[in-house]
Amino acid sequence: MSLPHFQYLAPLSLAEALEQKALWGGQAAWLSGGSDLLTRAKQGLVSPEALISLKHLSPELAGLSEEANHLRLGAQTTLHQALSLPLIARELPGLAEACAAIGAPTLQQRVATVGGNLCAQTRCLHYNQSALWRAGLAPCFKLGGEVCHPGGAGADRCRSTCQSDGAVMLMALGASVVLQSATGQRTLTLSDFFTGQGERPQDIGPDEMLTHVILERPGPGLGSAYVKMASRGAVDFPLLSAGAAMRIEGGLIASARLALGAVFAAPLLLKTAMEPLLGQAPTPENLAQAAAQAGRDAAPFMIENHSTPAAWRAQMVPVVVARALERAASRAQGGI
Amino acid sequence: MDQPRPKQIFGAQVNGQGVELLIAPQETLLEVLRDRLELTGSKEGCGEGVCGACTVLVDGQPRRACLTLALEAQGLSVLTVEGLAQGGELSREQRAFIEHGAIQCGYCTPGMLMATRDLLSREPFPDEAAIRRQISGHVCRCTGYAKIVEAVAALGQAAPGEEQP
Ligand SMILES: Cc1cc2nc3c(=O)[nH]c(=O)nc-3n(C[C@H](O)[C@H](O)[C@H](O)COP(=O)(O)OP(=O)(O)OC[C@H]3O[C@@H](n4cnc5c(N)ncnc54)[C@H](O)[C@@H]3O)c2cc1C
Repeated sequence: MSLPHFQYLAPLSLAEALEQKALWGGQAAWLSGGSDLLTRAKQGLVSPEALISLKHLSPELAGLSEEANHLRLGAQTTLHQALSLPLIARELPGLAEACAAIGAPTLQQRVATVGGNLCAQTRCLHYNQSALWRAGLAPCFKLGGEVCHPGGAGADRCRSTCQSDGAVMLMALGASVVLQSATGQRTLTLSDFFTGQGERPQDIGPDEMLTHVILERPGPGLGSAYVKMASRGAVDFPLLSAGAAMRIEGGLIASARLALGAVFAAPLLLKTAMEPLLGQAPTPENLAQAAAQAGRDAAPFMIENHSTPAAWRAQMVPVVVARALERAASRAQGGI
Repeated sequence: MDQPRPKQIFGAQVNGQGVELLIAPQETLLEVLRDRLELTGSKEGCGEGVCGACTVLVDGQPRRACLTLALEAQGLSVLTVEGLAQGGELSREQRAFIEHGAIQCGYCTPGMLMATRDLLSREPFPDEAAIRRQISGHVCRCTGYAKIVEAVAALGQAAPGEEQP
């Protein structure tokens, strides 16, 4: 399978890269590992005039720095680097689990990056197909058309889903991202960065680059976990996933954040389902109740946009949520 | 039709030999290896990064050659299955695969061998779980996984320093 024509640029510094992107704007795409971008380019889902490679920027943009109150993870950190960082392996096991769940080891090591995972496109059973396959269908919202095939006749918007494992876990961890352009910089929480619109899932300008992920320092009492359901144990995107981050103080739940993957265009943060947990002990009954409520809250989002029936995925929501909450709670109390 | 576009110089060390070619920027590393350098050992299975048959080592690390622009490997060292044998002698990974019957149709073998080289370079004595995890991104349509795992495990059992790759 061949790629369409494009120009290839490989700037030597961040400043040079941002200047080039300011000139090219939306005609150019950043190329990091390419494992999302080049697959879409081969399928004719995207046809940039130019690719601007980030390969020379790894010294500037890869790795973790520990600052007074937070951690800064560079966008060019590969998934393998991220999950091998001692601090992440030790204190943010949910994030290590999410990175390990992406693709397969021989994809994660050199290729796939944290920044690329956050900026990867939403996916859908009807969208991520070859041009030949799609030729039988009217173009959907995500391709600039006016239908959503899984959404059905009355659909007024794209119903593709965020299937980036790292993004789901980072949403649960309350992370933010730094977006940099030649003229300025802004920091957005992931709740703001992810628009919830399948047509344009991320709020990132044509001249901007995601340079860093900002994470709160985990500290004692925080437990995190990532649970993914997929057809195979490797290579496959999630059919459903849950990332949980829970802080337990004095035996009681001080905070609980849960995000679902593969159900909505953004990682779906389930706030109301988690609220009753605050101030409660992390007993199996309490966690099961929150998981059941998560299932009810997620139900309206379940449509036939995956290879597995929506009804089955809906039934599995309380299951993955309960598993993620239980593991996060156990880790918050010093377990594994 | 596509308009002609300027070509770019691609230079790299492929299996220890310097190569320099004019290529189109959109050429993948797999296209350059197979179609221009006639190193057809690396296979195109799916062309979408799923099957792992095109895996090569770029500066020692595994990459899907089908999803890698050749220009991304500019100036780097690329090791393909053709580069495993040295001076006419098969490498220890290749010998183990043969001895354990870990090859059927052979299509996944180049990728499996490169994944093996990568694993053993980081973890000389992997247990079965680590081996299965490493090859989880490599599809064998003949489903001969058990023998592949046995071959890699046998390599890991060799005493340290006994055999060098
Ligand atoms: C076989 C296969 C299996 C996969 N399985 C999974 C899976 O299970 N889970 C999962 O989450 N993903 C999966 N992926 C998708 C992909 O590998 C990951 O999302 C990966 O982390 C993407 O990173 P990358 O560096 O390769 O991104 P790229 O493809 O280089 O980039 C992705 C997008 O982000 C943009 N971009 C890249 N870097 C930046 C930046 N710094 N700032 C702004 N924009 C940027 C690019 O222009 C592009 O649009 C799979 C891919 C393949 C081929």
